[in-house]
Amino acid sequence: MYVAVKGGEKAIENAHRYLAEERRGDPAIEELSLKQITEQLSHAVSRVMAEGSLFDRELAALAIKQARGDLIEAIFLIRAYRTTLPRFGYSAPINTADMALDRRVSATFKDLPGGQILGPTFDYTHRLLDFALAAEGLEAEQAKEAEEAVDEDVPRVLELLNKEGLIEAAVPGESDESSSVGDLTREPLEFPAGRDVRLQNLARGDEGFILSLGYSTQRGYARNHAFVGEIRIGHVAVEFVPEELGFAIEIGDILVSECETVNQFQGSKKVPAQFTRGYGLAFGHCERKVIAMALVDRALRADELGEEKSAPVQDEEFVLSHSDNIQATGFVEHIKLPHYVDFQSELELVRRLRANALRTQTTLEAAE
Amino acid sequence: MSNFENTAYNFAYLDEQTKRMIRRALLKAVAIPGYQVPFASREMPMPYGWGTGGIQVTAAVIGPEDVLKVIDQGSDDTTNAVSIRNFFQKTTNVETTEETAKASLIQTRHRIPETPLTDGQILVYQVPIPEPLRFLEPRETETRKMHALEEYGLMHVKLYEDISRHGDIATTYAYPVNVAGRYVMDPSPTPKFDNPKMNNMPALQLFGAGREKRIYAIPPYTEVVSLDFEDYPFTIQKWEEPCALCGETESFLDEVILDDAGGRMFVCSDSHYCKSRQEQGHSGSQSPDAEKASREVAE
Amino acid sequence: MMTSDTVPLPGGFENNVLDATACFRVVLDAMARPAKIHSLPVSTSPPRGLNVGTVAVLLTLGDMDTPVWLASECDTAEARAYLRFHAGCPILEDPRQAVFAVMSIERDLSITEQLSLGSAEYPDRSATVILESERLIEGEGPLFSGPGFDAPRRFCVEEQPASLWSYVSANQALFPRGLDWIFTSDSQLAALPRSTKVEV
Repeated sequence: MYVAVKGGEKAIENAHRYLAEERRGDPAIEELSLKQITEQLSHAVSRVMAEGSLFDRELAALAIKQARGDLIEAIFLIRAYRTTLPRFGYSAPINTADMALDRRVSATFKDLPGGQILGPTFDYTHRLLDFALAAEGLEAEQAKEAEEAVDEDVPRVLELLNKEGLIEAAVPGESDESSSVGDLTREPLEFPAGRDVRLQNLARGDEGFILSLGYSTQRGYARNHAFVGEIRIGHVAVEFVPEELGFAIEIGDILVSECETVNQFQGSKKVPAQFTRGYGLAFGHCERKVIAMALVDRALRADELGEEKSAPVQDEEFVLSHSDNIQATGFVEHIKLPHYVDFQSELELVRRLRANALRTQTTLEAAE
Repeated sequence: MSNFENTAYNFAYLDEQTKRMIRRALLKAVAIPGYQVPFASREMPMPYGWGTGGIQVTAAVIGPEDVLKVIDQGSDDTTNAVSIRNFFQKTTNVETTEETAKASLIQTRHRIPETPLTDGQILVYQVPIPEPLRFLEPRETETRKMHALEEYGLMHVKLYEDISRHGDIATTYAYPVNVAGRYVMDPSPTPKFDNPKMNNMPALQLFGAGREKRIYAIPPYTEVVSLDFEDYPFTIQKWEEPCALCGETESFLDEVILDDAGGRMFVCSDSHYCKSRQEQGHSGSQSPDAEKASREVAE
Repeated sequence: MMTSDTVPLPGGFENNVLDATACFRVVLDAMARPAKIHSLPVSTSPPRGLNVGTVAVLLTLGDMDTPVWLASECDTAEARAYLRFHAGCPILEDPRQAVFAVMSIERDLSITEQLSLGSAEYPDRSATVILESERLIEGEGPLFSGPGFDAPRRFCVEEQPASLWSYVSANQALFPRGLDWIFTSDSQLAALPRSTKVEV
């Protein structure tokens, strides 16, 4: 006698308990606090805030803890939470020219107004495992305070070029300035997408995917040699105009990373040769992400600039449809769900086709 | 998700603004049978690919009076069906059932129940890839044009190539249909066995694709035709043996591997249908009654 | 309340969530089974210019994303204030951008020619017309058929202009583009989606 498999409900419950136990690990080891995560795993927190599209360090830390350090899972938790939040309105655009800078570097000029500010970067660390960190309780070295404060006025590098007319003016997107900025969390993606929606998509997009696409342009798939005009990392004020007040009030500040690239452009029939721009911006400290984003943004402007499209990175529909790691992980992983019925359909077909083929072969052999 | 128990969410989880947006899309979908309406699909607290489209449609439709049935692969007891049913139990407190005839709302993945659906019922399908032309043309910009121009030649070419290569149409599930004589539609990855049930079905059929952000529908009593050729008419799967538990010969069967020596049996994929047939006294080669009967004969 | 004048506004749904769900199911069923008359599951008091059925539809489906156009006979200060306050709908002067267009069945329906029909690629981007009348009548009038019909049905409304069915018929010929029609009274609701064929 055969008894059908039952007990899905119990199995799920038990799996959840087992998961909770595994998440905690050895209870003899002290539990992670959210503060430890926000303070000591700040790049993980930045990535979860950027790709989760929600600026909240505490919640990002909670998500990282709950997801056992699986950042895509943590981003998913944040996204699912984010959609349930009510919207009170839209902030005024942030102004990164007024950023309180932690870091500002330009690869295009040796020195420039405001100077180069290295800030807290891995760039010139030698990647040697620091075994001293393995010992707990050691006091970290304190950075020395600079003798001079950062200039109040740090002009954007690309604006310096703009004065000479060597670089295109920053364009607000294909839609004209008066029209509202798109939001792909409220409207389904449509092609062609405006630059506003493209940038939103890239800012939320998977760091690994954007990184690889950016890399592909450098290696010659739609090569477009880029210089980092400027990278800025620091805090900017967020302003909001409540309808009842009619003027902007500051509601807080956020840490963002921004990269503007200067790219070659040979010119086309329409436009004389000049430098063009790529742009990247994301929540938190995520320099790798915004550099890659700027490369991809520039590559996606092929149509607008009349460039020949030859590579995946220039293909808007391809890039935007596959950048979201929550969509990707869901669909890639869903093939582990039961597919008995579809598989049975295929089994039946393959068996039948093979039987037919065998029959034909036997008939042919008999005829010979 | 565990945080449901301690947080107050709206009835059926979605906020009212999201429900309105989905409801408007559903009405357009019903008005244009088989056409895929873009909608601003939300991130749900379960992964894309797990039925987020079907769940959003169900959440926008369900009311406190509904009786809900959730199936995956035809069965009420597969883990994903259990998980989705629990989600709606927690967020709506509606009555749930395994009985097809008793349900007013049925959410399904990959099957249409064997018990014929009736007027007044609603069947919600979870859809992974809503675009029937997607495997022939990956670009949305292109397939949208093809639908607009009713240009479905490519699909017929694909089916015909199957015939010339294999002597048969090699599509066995997600078999394309034409709805009300206009749109070619993907019935979701149901086996083609279920396609004839869609035609003139008295129940309303709603389809939700969350990741792809599309909703479509088939009104009740609407003509749904599986694409085929005069010399190669559409046929459905058949099994050489009946269900080993209830003896049914007209249902879709799952294959169960019994040992590693080639032993296998076939049982109804629709678990409730099979169970109720057994309760009515039907039996198959592997049912307890059959074993008893064969023992009795031997004695 | 935020009315421009001092007329107090009638209330909206008693229970926003459950009333909207019940009304939606009625509209969904009406769209899925065209030319069948449904009883309204709510009895809200409408503002001057609108009837109960129209209010039920707009409170269920209308919000800041659905601009509404009101024909002159429905366009009262009270109706505008009501829809803005209870649904948050923008009220348009120009019918061309309307998602919902509300009018009386007794009026000249040529205004519907200005409404959005959607495009060949996005036929869903079309307007829904809400036609107010005193009474909807089943079993009389022209014969309708199409998706949603197990058998052809007759349907009409009181005081309908002779031109109504020729508009409905011309609209059907545009399928898959076209308008969808919802008929309302104070206690009833019925619909004719663009897919419904009419034999005049």
